[in-house]
Amino acid sequence: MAIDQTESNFEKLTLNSRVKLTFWGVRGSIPVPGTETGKYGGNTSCVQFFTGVNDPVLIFDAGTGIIKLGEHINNNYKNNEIHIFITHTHWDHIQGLPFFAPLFNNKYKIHFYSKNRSSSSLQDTIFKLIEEPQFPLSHQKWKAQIFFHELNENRLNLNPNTTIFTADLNHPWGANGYRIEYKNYTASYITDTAPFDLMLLGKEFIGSPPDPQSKLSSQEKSALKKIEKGVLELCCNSDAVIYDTMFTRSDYITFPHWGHSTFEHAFGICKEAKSRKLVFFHHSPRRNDHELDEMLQKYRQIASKSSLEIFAAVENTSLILDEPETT
Amino acid sequence: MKVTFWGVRGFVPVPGRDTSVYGGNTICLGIKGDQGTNLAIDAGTGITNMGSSLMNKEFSRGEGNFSMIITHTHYDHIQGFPFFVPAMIKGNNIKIYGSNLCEKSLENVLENHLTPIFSPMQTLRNFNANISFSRLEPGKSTKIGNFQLEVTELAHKVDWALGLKLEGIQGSLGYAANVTYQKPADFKKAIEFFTGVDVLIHDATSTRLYDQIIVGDHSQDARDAVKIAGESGVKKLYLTHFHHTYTDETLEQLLELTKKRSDEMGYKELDLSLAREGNSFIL
Ligand SMILES: [Zn+2]
Ligand SMILES: [Zn+2]
Ligand SMILES: [Zn+2]
Repeated sequence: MAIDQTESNFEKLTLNSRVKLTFWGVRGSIPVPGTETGKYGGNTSCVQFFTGVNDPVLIFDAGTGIIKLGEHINNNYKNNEIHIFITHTHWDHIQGLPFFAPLFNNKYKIHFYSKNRSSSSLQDTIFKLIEEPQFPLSHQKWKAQIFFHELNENRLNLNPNTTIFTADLNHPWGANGYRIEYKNYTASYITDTAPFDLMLLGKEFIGSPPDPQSKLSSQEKSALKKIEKGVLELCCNSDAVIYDTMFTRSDYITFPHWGHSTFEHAFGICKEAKSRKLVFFHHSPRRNDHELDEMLQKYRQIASKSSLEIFAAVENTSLILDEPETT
Repeated sequence: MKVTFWGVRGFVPVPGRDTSVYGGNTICLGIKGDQGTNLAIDAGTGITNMGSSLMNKEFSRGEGNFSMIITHTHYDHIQGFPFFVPAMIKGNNIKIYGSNLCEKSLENVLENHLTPIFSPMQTLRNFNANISFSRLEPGKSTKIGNFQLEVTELAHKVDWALGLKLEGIQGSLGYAANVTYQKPADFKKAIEFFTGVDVLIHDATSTRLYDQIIVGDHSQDARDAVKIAGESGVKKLYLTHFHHTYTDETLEQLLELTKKRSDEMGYKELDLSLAREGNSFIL
């Protein structure tokens, strides 16, 4: 059964100046072409916070979804400033970048952001991504002006209208979530993260997966608490929270070390944070349209008594953010 | 031998309604021998579906043997590997063949693809199957199950791009994806190598410079593939490794233009088709 997302909240790609979140890629792990995923889409993670064609372009992650966004920018946008916020450099969050058209056009200024990590710089990682023998077009072919920013603070004042906040997530090798405040609008982008109960991630594992039943040390527990607190702050009173819901609870128990979250967990966080809308995101490549419809229906029923509205991210559509009440 | 197109794209996977007829997965060709030999040529995202299709048999019990031939190391030829389920199961044997022509070994390239910075798998050692590597040498024949495999180095921008010939009991198959012929000698080498094969599966993009492929500046018909097939005396040619910007509609135009070109070049006998994801043929 097909479920319509509440019509007034979603629209097809348009250039009107309403503030919205546009979903260019909604999958986790690997792109999944095919008719089974035709409705929700098969491209990997890429979300745009859209405020108008004359404003700087704000993008979260650079999965294959960013390729189509690149064409869209080239064809329609009037502003040459592009800001790309990277959660982490796993393939599904950067693999579209080598095909992002504005990189090959000298009129653009492109800024990349990620959380500073001591082990590797974002610039090195991205340049390494597009080197032979894995990719033929190195960064020397890029024509745009490129800037790399490694965030040391949890807060970045991007321009007078826009502030970005960031916090750590629970993911192998680390990832960071974002909150964007634009005028009176707020949205949160939380992917990839595991829940905060079975295991603290970040360390390397070799061989068999770590035992999820093993007791957490008090240090691990307090580290997880700290991550949870940071995530709650990013989601606090947010108009829309985009959250990693790749797993069911039983997936999480089987693969706690893969660093992905569940529908229940996302729901719990958003309720506690008093967010207004929750958007399921980073869909499992194994979950087809029908299964996603069912999940959405199930959790809408569960949420029906609360004021939290639930959606699932659909490629090539936008979630319109409600006009904030002026006080 | 049964040949299945699991992925037919070059460069990057392209999900979406525009590509739902010919398919959006990156390159992977599956081969099944009459005596049960299982192998894949290239490991683009198409290999994930191939992996799932194997899972109701000996591979789910950890008793499967699988061979994978990687013709070169660009992402579109390896990016499906981390999601190939039989590689996760203890007991399965996965043998991966690459070229001995490269400076960096294939194992090295795959480890680099899986490093913690890029992948939650973190290293090849986290795959439970027995994974081994073997280097193919041009001019030397290698036995894989009931097949005889021969490779040659074809013109390409990177270290190496292999062309290969797989000989079974009922016939032989030629394969060349990601080739950029530049000099007459490049064509000559490929033509000599493929002479005598029954079916040729060949890259559809024609250009002299690899960079131009990415920016979209390349010929709109598959003239290089036609030339190789025609001059080698091949009867059946499948085009594959399609440009990621090509929709189903563009691909049908490509086929029309290429057929016209093939007639003009005098290869009226050549039977020409587009590879289509999910389709198989028996050789
Ligand atoms: Zn991811
Ligand atoms: Zn990740
Ligand atoms: Zn390729």
